[in-house]
Parts: sequence; C-alpha cells; structure tokens
Amino acid sequence: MKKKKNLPKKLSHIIDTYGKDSPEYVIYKKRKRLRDISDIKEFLERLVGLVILLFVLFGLIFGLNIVSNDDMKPRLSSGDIMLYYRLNDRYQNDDVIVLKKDQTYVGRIIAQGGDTVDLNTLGNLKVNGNTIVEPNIFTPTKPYQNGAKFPIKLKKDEVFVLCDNREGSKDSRYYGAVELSEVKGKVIGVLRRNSI
Amino acid sequence: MDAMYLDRSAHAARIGNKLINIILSILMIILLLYGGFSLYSNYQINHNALGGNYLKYKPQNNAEGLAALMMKNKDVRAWLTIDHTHIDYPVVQGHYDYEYLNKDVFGDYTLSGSIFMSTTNNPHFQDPYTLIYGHHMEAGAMFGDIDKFLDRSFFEKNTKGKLYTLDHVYKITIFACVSCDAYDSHFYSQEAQVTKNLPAFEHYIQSKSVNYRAMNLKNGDRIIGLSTCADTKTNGRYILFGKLD
Repeated sequence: MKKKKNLPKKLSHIIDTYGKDSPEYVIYKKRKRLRDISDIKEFLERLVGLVILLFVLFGLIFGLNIVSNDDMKPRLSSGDIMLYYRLNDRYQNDDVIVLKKDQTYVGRIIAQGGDTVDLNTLGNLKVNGNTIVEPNIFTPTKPYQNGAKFPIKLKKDEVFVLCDNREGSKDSRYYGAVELSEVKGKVIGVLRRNSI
Repeated sequence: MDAMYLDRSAHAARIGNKLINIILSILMIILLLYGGFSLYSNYQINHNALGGNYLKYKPQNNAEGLAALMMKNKDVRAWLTIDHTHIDYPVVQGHYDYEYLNKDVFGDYTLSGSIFMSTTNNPHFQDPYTLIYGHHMEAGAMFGDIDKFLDRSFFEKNTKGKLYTLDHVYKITIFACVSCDAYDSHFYSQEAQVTKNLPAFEHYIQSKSVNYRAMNLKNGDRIIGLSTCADTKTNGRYILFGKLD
C-alpha cells in the first residue's frame, strides 16, 4: 500500500489495470529505463560542457586571483578578488599585472624592454635617467640589500614592476626583471569585501 | 537492484541538470552585467572625450560661443581645430601643471581631462612657442588623432587648422610631427617657450621629426606644439608642430 503510493500515477494505473505481468507493464519499464539512461547521458554531457566552458573562461581567457598581502596598498588590499585578462599581447606602463615566479605576485609595470631603471638609497626612482613623478605613491622607493642590483637595463621581452606600497613589498627590487612569459595577465577588475 | 540503481542515478542526474541550468544562468547574468557595464563606462569616457558637450560653444563666424564658455570658466583661452581629425576642442590654462589632466572644461572630474596649455605660456599666444597638452585616447578622442600625422601620406595631405581666440582667428600650418621623450627640455621647458632663436629650434624639431616639411621660421614667428603620449614606449611623447599666422 505504502509503496504503491510512491509510484508515479501512471505506473500504478498500469498495474491496477493490467497487472504486473502484462506487456504494458514491461513496455513501461523498458521506456522508463531508456529515459533514465538518456537523462543521465544528458547530464554527463552538459557537465563536461560546463567544465570546458569554465576552463576556457577562467583558465584561458580570464583568470581569478585573490590578493594575498598589502603590497599593493592603497589600490589593492589583502583579500580582494582580482579578475585578470590573459590574452594581452602587449602591456603598457602603469598596467597592474599578475605574474608567476616562484609564486604568484602582483605588481605595476614601471618600465619596459630597452629602458634603464635606477634606484638610489634616498628612494628616487629613475627611468632612462629621468626621475619619475608618482603622485599616487606615498612611500620612497628604496633598493633592497640582497635584492636586484641597480641600474638595471631591461632586455627586449622584460618588464620592471613595482608594488604601490614601496616599503618591504616583493617586486622587481626583490625578484628582478620579469619576463613577458612569466606575466599571466593584466588586472581588469577588483571585487573588494574587506578594508573598503 | 540494477533498476533501482538506475532509477536513483537518473533522479540525481535530473537534479544535476537543474543545477547546471542555474549555474549557467547566473554565469550568463554576471557576464552580461559586467560586459554591459564595461561598454557603458567606455561609452561614457569616449563620449566625454569626444567633446560632444562643448560643440555648442564652438566659434562659428564670431566668437560668441567662446565668450559664453569663458563666462562659465575664465581658464578658457581659445578653441583649437585641426582639419580632418577629431581635434576640435576648447583650450584651457590651469593655475598649476596638470590641473586639467582629469578635469573637463566645466571643472568636473573626467578621465579624459581637457586640452590645456602650459601654465607658463602667455595666455594670449604671444610666446614664440606655445605648448598644448592632451590625452592620447582611443577612437581619436582628445589628441588621439595626432598619431595620424605619423603617416607620411596623411601628413602630406593635411596641413591646416585654426585657433580661435576672442579677438583673433589664427591659421595653423602644420609642419612637423615629432617623436621624443617627456623629459626632453628642448621641447618641454619655459626656456623653450620663450626661445630667442626659432630657426635653431626648427632645426632641432627637424632632427627629432618623424615627418617634416621646411617652414623656414624667423624670429618673431609663433608656433604651437600639440603634445600627447605615445604608449609604445616609456615616457614617449608625440608633438605636432604648427605655425600660427
């Protein structure tokens, strides 16, 4: 009685009218089986499609990354979610990029292939011999003791990046120039939840 | 047993299908919203930059429109037009460098800024060399079209422009398009603006030019330089030079 109640209306109708040994019942069972199999197949196909779509979107075209420290303060804060675009073929100064060395870093491009970057202990940043005016940077740009040696002349496919927070941040002063093959993409959007 | 297993799997698959529908819908809505917002914000930037808000002030046969614009903002100095480009803007002069870098002619914030002349230049274009700045923007907005003069044939064909002030209309004859560095003091300094030796300056312009035609400047002539960023290299600048008559 209880089991009967759970069965679909049509099936109980068939059992009532024709009985469990009737051809109608067997046909119904067969059709249900085929429908179940096709539903499962459809789900698996769409699941694979979704995974491929997500991979193309966020693995090949865009990328998502979470800012892990305050090196880019005040523009980016720890915990921000960055959306970056991977398919740029060239970058401009002032672009914020995600790059992969021994780990993933974020930084702002200061100079590009062919440029010469120099820093002194007073915290002046010079590119091609000219002091760079940076109205949105609030800390002096000093070289690190065990970091890169200045001046640095950039090779054709290299960029020099600095973080906006110049005190203690890990950027090209720490890991040296960045090859374009190490650049993962240009940050095009930020979603912030903390420290707004 | 097998039938029951199949039945349960099919049930799970149908729930899974619904979930995929929901995920796809959410993804689509987010992408549409993000894309739509990006298009809208780009449109806003370009619309402002192309100067549609100013055109009603453009001087036609008289300087009435310009005078009206000057009533709104006393920093307005002139109206600059270069033929066959999008350069058709009021020129302002701020009280400090870059005041108008991100400010429109009405004083509101805008990413594209204004076309502005050097603070140290004479406001009535009486200096031998008047320096005017503009952002390098896409779609030829602001000074984005200066790129066109890097092309030899465009440079050959297009030589004219006009500079309207309240009491005078200057004819501009374009004679050089220069690629230089933002720190080149031959171009960017007050000494350059009040140079006593225009023939020597023309010689230097020629040496840095991408395209050039001889102007044979004499002392007493006046020229303007329209400066914009060249994004291809660090601190790169393009300057378009024209003679005022």
